[in-house]
Amino acid sequence: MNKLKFVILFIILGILASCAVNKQKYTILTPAEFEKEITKYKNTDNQWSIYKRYILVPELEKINMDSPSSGKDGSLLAETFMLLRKNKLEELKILIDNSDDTNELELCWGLYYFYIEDYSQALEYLNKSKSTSSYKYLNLLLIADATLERDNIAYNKGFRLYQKVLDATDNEAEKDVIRIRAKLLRYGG
Amino acid sequence: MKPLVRYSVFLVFAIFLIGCSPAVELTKDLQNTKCRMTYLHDKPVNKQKKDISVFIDSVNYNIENPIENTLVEKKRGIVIPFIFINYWNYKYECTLGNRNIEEEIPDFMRTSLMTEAMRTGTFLVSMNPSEEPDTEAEYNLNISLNAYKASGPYYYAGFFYWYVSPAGYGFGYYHKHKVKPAAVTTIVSMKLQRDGETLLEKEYSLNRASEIIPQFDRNLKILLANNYIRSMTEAFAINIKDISEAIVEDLNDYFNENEVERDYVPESLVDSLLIQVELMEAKTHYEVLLEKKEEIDNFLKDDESQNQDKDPLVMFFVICNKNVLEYIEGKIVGVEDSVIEIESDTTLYLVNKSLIFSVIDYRDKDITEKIKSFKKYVSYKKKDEYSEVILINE
Repeated sequence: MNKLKFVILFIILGILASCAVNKQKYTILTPAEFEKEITKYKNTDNQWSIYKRYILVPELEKINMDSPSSGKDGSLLAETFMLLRKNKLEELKILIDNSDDTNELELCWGLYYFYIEDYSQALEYLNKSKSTSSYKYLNLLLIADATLERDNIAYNKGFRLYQKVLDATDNEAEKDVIRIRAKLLRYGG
Repeated sequence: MKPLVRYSVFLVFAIFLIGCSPAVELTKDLQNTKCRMTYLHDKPVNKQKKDISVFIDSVNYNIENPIENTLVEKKRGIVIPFIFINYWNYKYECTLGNRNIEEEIPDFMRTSLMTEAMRTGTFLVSMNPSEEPDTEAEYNLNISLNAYKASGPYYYAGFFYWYVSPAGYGFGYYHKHKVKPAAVTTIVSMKLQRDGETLLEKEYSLNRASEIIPQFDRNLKILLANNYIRSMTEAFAINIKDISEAIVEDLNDYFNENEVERDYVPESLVDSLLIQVELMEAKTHYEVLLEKKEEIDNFLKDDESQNQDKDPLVMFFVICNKNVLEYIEGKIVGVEDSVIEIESDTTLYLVNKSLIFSVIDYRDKDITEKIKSFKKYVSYKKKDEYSEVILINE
């Protein structure tokens, strides 16, 4: 009987582990971290699929992650990035709720709802967001990803969303993320 | 089970595995896939445009004996039927057919060129939804697709073994489907004219290998076939994109040399033209209804319209039929060239565009011209799902 319980427990753990693998969280990365990840997965089965979940934010390099509010770009957005990277979503919600900083407020709410997978609510904020040029790419990327997560849209429609993102950046690494996201969309990855 | 029966079962299984040449099934899998010719534009948008108007006059599909259905041709087939081990290895050549592509190729080429010209050109491309000649355009551009072919290899290999020993018997098998990148050739020519005089004429020829299909789910045969068609379609679309870029670059060079004195047009005009191009691109991919839905959804978010209890999709059509005015209140469910399909309860009206006198939307706004300018909508329902279909055509 004990053996049977052990087998059942093992199967349940297996299923939970496979769900966790399939439903990877989106990860916010600096360009250096991104390069490291790409190198790590090069020539493996995951070399393409990792691109789907990476959100590359070059501006992170300008932020002091240990004390985001002390940095030059010490904004609510900087603290949002920090808490998201630490997966402290409850803290993030309280922080945004109580914040007087109206700069990039919609983008912060958009990021929060995106991370708790409430994509409709995320889109509501992201569509209202008037992000500055340095975060326009991020805003459009989140809109594209949230739309694709929420709606089962045709891939050419998804391409149109990614086109807007691609047009919002000159950074080649950011462009690569989009190109491979589009490739994955085409081939059902 | 008696040994004889057992061995017969093995033998039949082995014959089944090695004898089942996948050609018929492969042809079916490949032909059943439909793909859209979509790609991402690489070059940044250039909003500095001179006041030079170019009209894309014609896009000719100039291919003799086009391949309509995807072809699968056996190139090699080896079967080694040893008694205990059987091995097989097939190679097929697959050639993409037009029916696998959702868009009409000339429509796609026109849109691709127009979009590229609007994005990176230093001139203006005439936007004429009715596709009638733009008599005010200074330059005419004629495009012709002279050749295209996309074909590549598909492999199917495997083995089957079985054994008998004093300790018992057993069997096993392994088989694998594999593809290699397809070769995609495209030849396009263009001719730039002014008042009938040819100013620039060029042919563009491109060869490209299709994408290596990403690793995931490669072993799923149907998905592999679908993705193989997708990769060929994508490579063809990217050839068209590269040719469109080359044409626009050549036109830019020509105008930079020959139209130095021209003024630049305001950026606001360029912005509005870019929106039109985006809409036109959506039309080519038959997404207009979705675009429309988004537009209406966004409109509904406006405070002004929050209290409206009317269905925003329902419009009021005034139709002049045999000199008598008729009224239909309903939703547009499709547009096919000159005919607009209007759903009113369980009745479907097929109305010739030229007979539509006016269209009023739920805000009592006249949207006749806008509705008449739509070229193609997708109809989600089949005609036999309506209790009555009424044709208003004269």
